[in-house]
Order: sequence, then C-alpha cells, then structure tokens
Amino acid sequence: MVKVEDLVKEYRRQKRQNGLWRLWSREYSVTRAVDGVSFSVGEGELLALLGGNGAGKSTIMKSLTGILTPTSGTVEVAGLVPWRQRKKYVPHIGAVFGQRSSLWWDLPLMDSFTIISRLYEIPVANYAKNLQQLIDLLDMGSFLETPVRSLSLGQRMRGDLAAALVHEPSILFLDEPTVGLDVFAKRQIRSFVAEINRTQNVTVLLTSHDIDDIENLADRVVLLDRGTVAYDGDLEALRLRYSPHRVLKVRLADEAAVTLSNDTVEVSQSGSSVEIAFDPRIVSVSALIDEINKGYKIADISFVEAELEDVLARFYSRDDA
Amino acid sequence: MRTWTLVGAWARSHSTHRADIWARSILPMLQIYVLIQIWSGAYRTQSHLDGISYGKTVTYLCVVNMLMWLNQSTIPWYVADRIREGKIATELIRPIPFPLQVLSHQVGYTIARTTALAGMIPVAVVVAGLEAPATVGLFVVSALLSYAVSVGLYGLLGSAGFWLHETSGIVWAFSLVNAFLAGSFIPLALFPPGVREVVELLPFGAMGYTPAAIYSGMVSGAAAVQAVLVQFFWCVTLVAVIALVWRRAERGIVSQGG
Repeated sequence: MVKVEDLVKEYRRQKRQNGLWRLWSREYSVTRAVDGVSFSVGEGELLALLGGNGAGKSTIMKSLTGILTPTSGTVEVAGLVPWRQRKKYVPHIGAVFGQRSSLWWDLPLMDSFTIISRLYEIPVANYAKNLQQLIDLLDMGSFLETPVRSLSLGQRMRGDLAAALVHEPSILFLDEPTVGLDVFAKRQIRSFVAEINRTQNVTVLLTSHDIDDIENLADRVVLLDRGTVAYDGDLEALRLRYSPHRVLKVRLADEAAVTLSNDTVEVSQSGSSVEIAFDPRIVSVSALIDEINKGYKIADISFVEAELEDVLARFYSRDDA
Repeated sequence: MRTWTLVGAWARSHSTHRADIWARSILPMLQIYVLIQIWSGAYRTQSHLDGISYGKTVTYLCVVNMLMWLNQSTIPWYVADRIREGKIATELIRPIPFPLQVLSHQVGYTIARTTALAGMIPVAVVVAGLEAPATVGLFVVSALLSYAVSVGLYGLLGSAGFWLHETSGIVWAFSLVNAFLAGSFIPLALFPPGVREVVELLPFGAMGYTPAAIYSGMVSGAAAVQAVLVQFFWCVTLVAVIALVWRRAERGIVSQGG
C-alpha cells in the first residue's frame, strides 16, 4: 500500500543575521529533516510513526500526503506518486492534521460534510449511507447542526475525522489526532480508528506523542531519530530491546530485609514494600516468586511491565543517540 | 461545478457575519462624503474642470469608491493565514487545486459583500447625488474586468506569501498606492498630462478608474473601448503570471509548524 525508499527532505532556511545587513544579505543553511528513510506499510495495517520533536515525522507525513516534494527518494502510495499525481491521488487518502481543522468554521458541521461530498463528487446514495455510519460511530447526532466554531475540541476532532472519511479513502493519515483532547474524547477517537481499521480495512498511518494512542492502536511502530529509521517492528520487541526489565512489586507482611540469590536482580526496599527489577530473559518470574515465597511472608504481589514511555525515554537517551 | 460548491460555501460562511459587512460599508460611504466635500471646493468658482462637470465628478467618486470597496481582496490574508497556521495542508489534499480554492473564497466573500450595496446605493443616490449610468453594457463588462484585475494583482501579492514570511506590510503599502493610482481620490482624467498617459496603462486604473469613468461618461466611445481592452490585457497577463508563479510555489511549499 505504502512504499517509501531512501526518502530525503532538506529544508533551506535563511540564516539569522544581526543588524540591518540582513535586509539585503541572504545566507542559507540546509537542514536534513529526513535522511534516507525507508519503510513500507501493508494494506489494512495500522502503523505508528514515533519520534521526538524534529525527528521528521511530520515531514514524512507531508511527503506521503503529497503536500511536500521530497529532495530525493521514492514514495509510492496506492501505486501513485503523491506529489506528482496529486489530482489522481487525493481521492484515495484522508488526513487529519492535529489541530488544523478542515471544516468550515462558521457553518454547521453538517454543511462541511455536504460540501466535502460535492468536492469529491460522491454519489448521493453512497454518501448518505457512509455519513450515517460515521455519525453513529462517532456519536455526532447531537451537534450536526451546530456551527463548527461552537463545537468543543473533542466534537470538532470527531467532525474532522468524519470529514476525512466521507469519501471512503483506502488510507488514512493521522498526524497527532488526539492532541489536546480529554481522556474520554481520546478513547472515543482511538476506538473509532481501531474500528474502521478492522471493519473497513482502512490502512492507517499515525503519528502521536500520546503513548496510549500507540499502545492501544498500533500493530507496528517505526521509530524515527533525527531523520532516520531507528527501529521498525512490533512494540513487544521494542520493549525487550530497549527496556528488558520488568518489575515485581511485593508487599511483605513484616519488614524483613530482602536479599535474593541471583545477583542480576535489583532490589529496592522501603519498609514492607519491595521492588524487584529483573530481566525475564535471565530470571524467570516463577523462580523469583518461589524464592520470595519460601523466604518471606508475602501480603501482596504484582507484576509491572515496562512502560512504553520509559522505553522511549531510554531509547532517546541511549549511548549512540 | 465543484468550484461553485466552494464559492457557495464561502458566500454562506461570510454571510454569517452580515453585521460586520454592513459596518465595513460605512467606511467607503464616509470616504465618498469627505471627497465630495473637498471636490465641491474645487468646483466653487467654476462649473467645469477640464470639461468635467461637478455632477459627473460626484457620480464618478461614488462609483469608483463603491467598486474599489467591492473589489477588496481577501487573497493575501487568506494565503498568509493558511501558510502561517499550516492549514494549507488540509486544503492541498482536497481534489481542487489550491489557487481555485483561494479564488472561491474571494468570490464567496464578494458575493456576501454585494448585499451591502442595497444600503449603499440608495444612500449614494439620495445624499451624494449619484446619477444613472452613461452606458450600461460596457460598464458591466468593465466592472467585471476590474474585479478580475483586482483578483489577479492581489493573487500575485498573495503568492509572495510562499516566499516571504510576512506580507502584510507589502499589502498595506500596495493598497495605499493602489487606491491613489486607481483613481479613488482623483479621476485619472484630471491627472497632469504625461503622468496620466502612463498611469492609464498600468493595471491600477483597470481596477477602479476605467469602469467608474465609463459609468459617469468621463470616458466614452472609442476611448472607452480602448480602456476596456487595456483591462482585458491585464487580466490575461496576470492569469499567465500567476499560473507560472503557482507552479514554482507548488514545488517549494513549506507550511509552518509541526
């Protein structure tokens, strides 16, 4: 569905100079925002592009949607080159760019859908059916006649998502779709994206800073670091690679000091609560629990997976970064 | 067809600010009033200036200022706003070329504005003394062309937004020069000889002076037809230049932020 090979995008920026001289002198510096990125996305896949600020996520999204012409490299989406065959290409895609609404600010939400359906020349019957489905899934019935400017951010984002899907695109680009939303609205949007990905086989490419978005949605992540692909694979493997430790939290019935036989585990204790960090590839959980159970009185025990946020933080602070 | 859908959408969108449109229409009416006060001073001692009667001048001033108001462009602001906020991304992925979307917004805005003429024209007739047109057909053609030239010139200024980060200074300066050279204050017919011939060939006169001079009868016959041809020339030239500029802009688009 999506094939990206050796994508490079350089931006030429005017150098800042002091004083009046800058009014007639022009010096430029070149920044490589994307530096030889390759990856592909299969039909019906849900892929998340991750990376810190300035990692090149948005530049890639803009190249894939045909808004930016890359400096070099090839991109093929649905068999088309986005920036070269824009007219033929755009009906295949839908996109939501974070806070930038594509709706008509002063008109009722419903009007935006009607306008968009005419811009894409969608047959009336298809439009009615598809829109009704979107209205139901996104629970928009109560605010269809409200002018967009009076909608809450959550309502507007739902409207924008629907607007991106009215023409039934086969691929959906979501650039920070949940930024600024409350927990409930985020959940609503996530379950909607998962639903259309599953039931309508819409390929989804997502960028987000929201860890929950990624954990709940993405099958696969591409981790970007300063314009290059640092990791491409599933989340579990990423966790293991950059944050192999798991934590066993134990609350003891007394305050006995815990010492364990295996010296690869890290024990930190404060009173009766003990945290044991271990690498599951070296120490098995059951052996660990057994040992504690034999030597100490356990009041409560729980097991904590590495948080994706920690994984990413570890990734960004790794030595070669 | 698709473009008309957008024009309609923007016309409706702008019509929601009817009060704002009516409030803005007060400004050109005040300008007409002040200009008539000044010009009546010039006519105090003579009935004609360079063969032009006071009535014709008043009619000219009413028409030129109302037209210039109607021809006001949103394009540079629209484009700058889209680039600055990065919103251009959402419009570039629509199945209509961006320049046509910009044009649709402009035409929708003008359509919403024409409603205010219902108030402006009666006031101009009763208070200022706006007379009936000398010729209707050629005036209508010329007025439409003046709109096209205005859209073209502001479209060109708008395209500068793709290269410059801030265009509002240039647009303000341009509007001021434009108002003067399009004859908003002084009909070009009364410009000093030498200057007048040059100014008449520039696109500014095509934006206001030509239709107003035809309406008031300051220019008629072959001279009027020739003036309309100059307008037509500017229309074609500007469309060609914008097409070229847009092709370049499209390749280098950088929308700001994220």
